[in-house]
Amino acid sequence: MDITFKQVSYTYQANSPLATPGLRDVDLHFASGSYNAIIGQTGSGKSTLVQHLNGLLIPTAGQVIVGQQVITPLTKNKALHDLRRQVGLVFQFPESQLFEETVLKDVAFAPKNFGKTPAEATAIAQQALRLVGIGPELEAKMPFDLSGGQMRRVAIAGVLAMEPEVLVLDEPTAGLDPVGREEMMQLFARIQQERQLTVILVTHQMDDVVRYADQVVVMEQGHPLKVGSPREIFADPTWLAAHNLELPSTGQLVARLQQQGFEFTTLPLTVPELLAQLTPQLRQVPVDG
Amino acid sequence: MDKLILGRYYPGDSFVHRLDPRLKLILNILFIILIFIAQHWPSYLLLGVVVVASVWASGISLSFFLRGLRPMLVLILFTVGLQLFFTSGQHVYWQWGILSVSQEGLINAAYIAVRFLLIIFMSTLLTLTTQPLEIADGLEYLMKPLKVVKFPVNEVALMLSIALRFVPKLMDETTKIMNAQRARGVDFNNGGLIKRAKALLPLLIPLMMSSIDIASDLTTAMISRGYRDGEGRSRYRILQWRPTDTVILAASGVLTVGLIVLERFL
Ligand SMILES: Nc1ncnc2c1ncn2[C@@H]1O[C@H](COP(=O)(O)OP(=O)(O)O)[C@@H](O)[C@H]1O
Ligand SMILES: [Mg+2]
Repeated sequence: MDITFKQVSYTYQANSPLATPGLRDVDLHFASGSYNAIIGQTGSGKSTLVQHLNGLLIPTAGQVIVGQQVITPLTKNKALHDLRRQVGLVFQFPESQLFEETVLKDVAFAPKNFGKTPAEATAIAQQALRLVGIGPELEAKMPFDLSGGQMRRVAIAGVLAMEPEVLVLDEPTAGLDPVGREEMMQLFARIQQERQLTVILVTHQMDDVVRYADQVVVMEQGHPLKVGSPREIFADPTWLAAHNLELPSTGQLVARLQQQGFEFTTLPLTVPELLAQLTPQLRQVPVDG
Repeated sequence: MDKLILGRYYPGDSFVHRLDPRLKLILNILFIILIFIAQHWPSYLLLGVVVVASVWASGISLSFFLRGLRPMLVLILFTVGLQLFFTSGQHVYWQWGILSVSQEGLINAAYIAVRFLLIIFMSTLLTLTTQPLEIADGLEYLMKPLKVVKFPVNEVALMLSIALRFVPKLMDETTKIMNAQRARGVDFNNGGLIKRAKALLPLLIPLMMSSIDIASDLTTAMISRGYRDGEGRSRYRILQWRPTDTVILAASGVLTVGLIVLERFL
């Protein structure tokens, strides 16, 4: 589904003395089927932005267009039920949303809310659990008896079970170990391919951005500062540093190599690109001792 | 959730903000006593003026207060409704089964509503203008005499300040979990009573789990930093009683005497 933000602003506790700006003048477009990354410092409005995608937050000005649905400041909560199913939102630390007696029931919760019969919901839930790598032997367990990583997977299955067309992931790998993180990112990539999903990923992991994203949005103080491909975004290390953004790890390595006298015409973002430029230069370096 | 202002702190530096928390606590208790001493409308008018003046002195707009009262409205209406329909009296205007509206009921309901409003206004003013930790410190100080009867004042004060400290955190957590469940198709605002009550389960269970987590993390942190309870802990925040506090206390004494005299003459 195509998603468009038109001059969207959002103020927390609007019309009260405690009003805090969340978003201001956001114009964005996420193409159907694309993989989008949103980066920016803590407090830059990333979470506020993504909560507009399924109508958890209604803009205080402007409009958000998700597929056919137009969300304006006047949109009523009731009109958003259908949108909530189409846009699956995985929150930061989603394991805190588990509550049912068994893993299977918890994953079947959302499909039931969206009108599936108990039997259908169970079937979908089992499918979603397999997808995230949770076997049938865990289905009857209490969610709270699982390990942290397993709870995270169950919670994500609980969102996938809505069979959304847009998958929004708010720092989904925060607090996972590197292996768990890698597996999870590959899982999302696979699901995106299989189901032709539009993915919107909020992350601080620049390597993941380079690896998976088609489009990157840099947020600063509630406003999209820069939008472009990973290559465009990471092209200028000085600009990145000025906005407290990290380079992906290849970029960091390149910066250090440059200090050692190596030269790069374009900034390599992936390992193969790095090798292509680095190997010829290595041959020229005389080996000491 | 966002709209409830009772229990929140409203940052500021007004006259009321700067008063000693002990004074504000005492005045709140005194005010509740005065409300129950007051039996006639002129007394309520006097107390109402005191409330409005206090709100004015706090620099917080009256409309902010009124808006913050909206979530409490159900509670007020419920209590007023009980008074209205279940007070039996001589002049019955309307009757249906056990429900009746009598002159006495009407008057009682009006009294209850006014008392309720005045108390809510005053206690909201206390929490809006006093940081939770100041309130806890103030309470600890005021509870000191209870040590004589072996009441664990320090421990209770610690529990209280921890509880207050985590109110905003639990509020945030509540919003977060509500959002997560709304994203999974829960509707907290529509549907019948049973449906709404059922919708609370996916909220309350995660909230309980995370409270337990928070509590156990905090315990670990306190133990590992060598926390020991008991006598002789020095304090980081020190309460300061100023001359203005004495003046306000004296003025409240005058108000109390005035109100008692007023009640006598009415
Ligand atoms: N529930 C809320 N109430 C008030 N202000 C909020 C709330 N949530 C976020 N904010 C504020 O909105 C801004 C953007 O926050 P957020 O979208 O959470 O940023 P990010 O996800 O990029 O860290 C911050 O200044 C934050 O303090
Ligand atoms: Mg965030």
